[in-house]
Amino acid sequence: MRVTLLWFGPLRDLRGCASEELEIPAPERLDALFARLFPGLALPVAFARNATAVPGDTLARDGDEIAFLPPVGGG
Amino acid sequence: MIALVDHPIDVGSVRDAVAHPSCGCVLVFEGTTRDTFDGRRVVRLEYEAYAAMALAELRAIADEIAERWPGVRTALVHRTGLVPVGETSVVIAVAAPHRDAGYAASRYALETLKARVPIWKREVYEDGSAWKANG
Repeated sequence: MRVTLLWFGPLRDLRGCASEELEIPAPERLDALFARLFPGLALPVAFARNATAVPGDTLARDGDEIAFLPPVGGG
Repeated sequence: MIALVDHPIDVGSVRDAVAHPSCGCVLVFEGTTRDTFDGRRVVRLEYEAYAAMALAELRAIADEIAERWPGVRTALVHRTGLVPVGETSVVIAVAAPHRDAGYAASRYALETLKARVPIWKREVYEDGSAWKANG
């Protein structure tokens, strides 16, 4: 399965890119995927799947666009 | 008018988008880049957005205002990219039949935008930078 990950703000700095394609073996909880990519990172994130806010226990599935959202700072 | 732009915002056009004969007031809020934070001199702010989701959230905020304050018209425009000191990063324009709803809706739009919209801000100082989240 393949998902697109979008990175913003401090996570973009940490990851070193704005977006990437990732292979995952099976549908995976977004919170678990984030913990796998950034183990031990003490940055609270919100989760988005296909440009929609979703809870952390939402499963990422083939073809999804996933974003982990750092604390926002608009306005 | 709901938009993200990567150039200076034409405030007059945002205001004109909401002004209406049915409305007795127009309020325009502009967020501008301040020259200091915590005593450090700020050179500029840099904004980035998850565009698809940010636009959806801005539209949702405008819809919430229309439902909560009938007759109130809302325009929300946020700038992305580099915003130097003194320049405007966000324009919130509301037109309302009467001022009570106008003031309330304008405040609601700003506070809700700052809480929910997927936009991130980096403060750039003379000697470094930091990502800043809203409280």
